[in-house]
Amino acid sequence: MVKAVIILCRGRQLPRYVLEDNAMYRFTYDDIAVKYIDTVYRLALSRTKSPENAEDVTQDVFLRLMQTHKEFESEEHVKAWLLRVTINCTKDLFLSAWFRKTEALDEKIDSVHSYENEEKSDLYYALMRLPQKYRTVIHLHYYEGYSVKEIAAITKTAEGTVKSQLHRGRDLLKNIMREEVKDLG
Amino acid sequence: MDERDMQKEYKRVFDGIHASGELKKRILEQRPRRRSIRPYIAAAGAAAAGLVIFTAVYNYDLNTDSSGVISETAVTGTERPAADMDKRERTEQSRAAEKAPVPETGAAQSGAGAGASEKTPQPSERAADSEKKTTEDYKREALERAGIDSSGNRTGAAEGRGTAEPKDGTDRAAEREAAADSPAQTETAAAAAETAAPVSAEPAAETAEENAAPAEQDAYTAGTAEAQPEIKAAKAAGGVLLNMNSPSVYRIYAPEANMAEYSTENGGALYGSAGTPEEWDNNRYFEYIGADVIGRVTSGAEVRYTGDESAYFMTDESGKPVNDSRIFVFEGGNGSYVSVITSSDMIYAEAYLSDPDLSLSDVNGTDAVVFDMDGGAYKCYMIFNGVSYVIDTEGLDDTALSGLLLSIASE
Repeated sequence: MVKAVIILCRGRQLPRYVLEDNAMYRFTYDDIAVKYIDTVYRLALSRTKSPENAEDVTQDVFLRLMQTHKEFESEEHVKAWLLRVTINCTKDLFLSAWFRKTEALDEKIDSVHSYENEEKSDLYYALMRLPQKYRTVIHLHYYEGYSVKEIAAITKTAEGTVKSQLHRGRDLLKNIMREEVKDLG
Repeated sequence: MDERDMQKEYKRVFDGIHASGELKKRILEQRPRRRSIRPYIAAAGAAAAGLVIFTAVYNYDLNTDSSGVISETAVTGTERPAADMDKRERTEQSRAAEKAPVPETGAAQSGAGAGASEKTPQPSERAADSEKKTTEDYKREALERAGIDSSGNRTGAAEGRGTAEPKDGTDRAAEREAAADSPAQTETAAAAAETAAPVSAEPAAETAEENAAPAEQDAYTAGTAEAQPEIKAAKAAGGVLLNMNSPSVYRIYAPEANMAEYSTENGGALYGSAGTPEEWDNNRYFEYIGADVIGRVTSGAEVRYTGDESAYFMTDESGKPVNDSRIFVFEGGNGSYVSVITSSDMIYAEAYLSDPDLSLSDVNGTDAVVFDMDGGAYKCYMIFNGVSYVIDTEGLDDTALSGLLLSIASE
């Protein structure tokens, strides 16, 4: 029986320990931040559709990481925790009065992002037209590679729900892309 | 587009999306956004201002006589426009004034002196005055009576009065009761007015006297807690003096100043670091570090070792671990749990021990920082014989914790 991670001290340069396979691994806040900033940002972006909001959410997530007393069992656990907190932070954002007041005027989905391949953005635009619940599960499944069970654990929803959201989201995505092709044609 | 194509496409799209360099920098530096910290700054400012005002008023109350600031507070309570005053309240006050003339002597006036008695206005006068005077006027008057100038310094007159008979807690509490500007207080003040001068309300109601002692005790306790928020309690047991630090201090504690120079480069990191992996059993580690941690902990507390018998270390050319931290976990009855992290790198405990804001405990002459984390959990940081100890316990009481620390910090 081992309590897996011991966070010795607070502060961004201070070490965090993970016991894994009888070996002790050390992480610093910086290690984790550098590795997972993009992961968190991408999920936040897929949920909020706005780079500005995604940046805010990402910063909140890492602030919470710095302040947490959570004991992590592995690096994968850290990642899952970050994704979970990202979802929570975006929920907080959606519930905030500021967001509710401004979002109605700000339904832009064509914000400028740093795409490497502009031609590939069709999928992105189609994704952004999906309802949020579908975007989240699709992102976690297709990008992060999580299984239905893992997504259910991260989003704290039933597996059946995740499965149906994934199925419907996928269908919707395909339909939207098909329509766009028709429109262009 | 089939499933696999979609996944590929999705990955390619999102692989091209990155957080901005500015965001990365902000997160790595953890600069809070201005938008988020503004309310906190405002709240902190308001709290500080409130605290300053409270402290000022409270200190005046402690050290001055009946004509001090508290009396002023009572007066302030009457400065509400007459129209706003409850009719019944005014009637009662008038009745009380008729019944109770200003006493010539007595506890209520002893501190204030005759001058103050003479100056004490009757309720009807006060009602009229209250419409003319502002809070500032009353405050200035009260301060003058207390012998404190506008800058808060005590004047000669006040020093002279300092030798006067000090007010006891009953009087102060009674004053506070009478001074409180609330409906409930109005009842008390009215009752007090039946037996005393309305402004000072010194003799106060019997009920106020009965409540005075605990009320004052609370006030003093609160004052002490404010003065020293970090220290939860000091407990002594057999060679160990535990000065508990509050968990709130632990949570906000960020010893970056102490640790600024520390990084994985100079501290050594097993993860991703160069070196030869070696499995060390516990005895080898104890020899290396110079302490039988398991023996010491099990003899100091009623727990048994449930951790690993060996651990891997990355060793350098000289065969020494690059990072020699190890964790030992113990379990006992009733869900008690102890974990001890040891290292010859002092930085872990030193970061806490060197912080002047933290309260030090004395473990048989060895300094330790102990946090009472609530819920029966403690965190302790200690250096003994060149070994840094970070100890977490759950389910141990103070005595057991003292025994454990003593056992670790004994030759």
